[in-house]
Amino acid sequence: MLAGQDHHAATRFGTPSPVIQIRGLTKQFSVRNRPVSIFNSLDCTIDRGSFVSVIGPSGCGKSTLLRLVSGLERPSGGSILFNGQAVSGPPHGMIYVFQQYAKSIFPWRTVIQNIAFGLKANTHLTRSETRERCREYLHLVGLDGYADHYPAQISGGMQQRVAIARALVCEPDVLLMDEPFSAVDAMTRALLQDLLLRIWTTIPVTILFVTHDVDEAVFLSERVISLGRAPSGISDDIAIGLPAPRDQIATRADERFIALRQRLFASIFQQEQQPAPEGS
Amino acid sequence: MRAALSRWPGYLLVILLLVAWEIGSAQEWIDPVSLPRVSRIFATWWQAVVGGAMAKALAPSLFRIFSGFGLAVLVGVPLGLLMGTINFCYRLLEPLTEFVRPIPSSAYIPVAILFLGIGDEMKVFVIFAACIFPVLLNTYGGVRAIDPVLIDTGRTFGVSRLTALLQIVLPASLPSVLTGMRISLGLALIVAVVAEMISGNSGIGYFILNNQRIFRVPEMFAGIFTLGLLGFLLNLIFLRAESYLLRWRADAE
Repeated sequence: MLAGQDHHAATRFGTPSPVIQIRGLTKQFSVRNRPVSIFNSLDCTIDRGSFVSVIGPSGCGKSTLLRLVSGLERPSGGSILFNGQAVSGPPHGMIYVFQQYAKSIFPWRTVIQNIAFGLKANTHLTRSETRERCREYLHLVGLDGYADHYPAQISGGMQQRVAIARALVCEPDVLLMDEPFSAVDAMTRALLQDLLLRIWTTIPVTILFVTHDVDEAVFLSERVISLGRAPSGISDDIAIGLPAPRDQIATRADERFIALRQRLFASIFQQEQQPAPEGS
Repeated sequence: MRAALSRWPGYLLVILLLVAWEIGSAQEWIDPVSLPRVSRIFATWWQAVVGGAMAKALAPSLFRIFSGFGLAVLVGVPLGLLMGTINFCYRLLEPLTEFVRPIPSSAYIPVAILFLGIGDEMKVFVIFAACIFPVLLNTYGGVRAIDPVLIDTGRTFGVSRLTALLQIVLPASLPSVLTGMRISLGLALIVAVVAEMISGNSGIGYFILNNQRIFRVPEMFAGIFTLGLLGFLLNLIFLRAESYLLRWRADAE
């Protein structure tokens, strides 16, 4: 039990308990009047407090999976439970962070006004409490001094930090992140990864993280779910037992990191090389 | 200020044309009865301004312009938001809009006279009819062009439909709405003058036509000059308001 603690995030809050349960999930799209199957009875459980990444070859449906979990999209069959309740629309306590942060943050609102956006709908705070809470999260993402800037006046990496703060300020149980760092440069990405890990260890939040970057998935997560070509579902589900705290230099040089990374990369690369199945 | 300075060749051209007009008219190279000297027109204009005649002519026109334009915004923006957000409303009203829109609003004047007479109601209605389409089209066009990510952002934060409309849809479509309003404001001025020339005995349109009829050509030009000035000022005020409302845009300074 004690020895296993480092390996399983859920244990950082005691006994593991499921926060998201996916049961028999099926999703079909209609492409030029032909049904295309993305998932065919997918099952998966995400433990409270864990950091789980979803990877897979292009077109495997990893973003679709996240959208289904978030309630932004409806499944064709099966069910998704969040805190034991069936998801039938975007539920309270679960917030989606979009890949296109520049399109997701409100350009007509200042940084602090952006962060305050979801608070009214998700909490019952007074005006001064709202301001206080926003300042707190502004500080958490390292944007003190930028409260009254408009998004157009700050960099892309800072904009994504605003989007993260805007989601976290609502104190959600689950943060769903869809390739959140794919549009920033490599150095900014490393800094944002460190920031996210720091936040995750500070706040009792579950993070479900979709990325196409295998290194990023292994570096950040406690568990990596690798999806196969649609509609094959989960092809690999690996616990990443790397020691915490993760370090951009030391962790990435760790033999275990390299082995895990190689294994996952090889499996995805192999699938990418195969010719696309008919209809996709 | 720098923008004003960089435009000096344009201003110089205006001055040169006015000087050419002044000299041409004084030397009778052009007919001084039809095109009186600029200095005379300006003196007449100044007299009409200080004597109150210009204000008397302008006041009813401004009332009509702002009533018609204001009504068009009050109806066009909510209707445009409705058409932009609810697909059924769009499919219901879009064909009608596309059919009615190409008809020049001055063509409504005879019909409007039949139903509303020749008073202010008719003029306000015709201005409204001219103004509504640019506002409506630009509003629903702006709403329909909103990125789905922005709408999904509202959904994931669980805000109500009304909050999403007021805090996401409206500000996101505001640049487009304001463009429509600015086009409409220009149209309002044109249609007001046309309507006043066709019927009635007040307003700046009537002032211009009447002075032409009684051969008071400098007064006629003074009226036209006033219109130019009015259009310029309205546009300037509007642009100022616009750049304030859209101060968050990257290109706004």
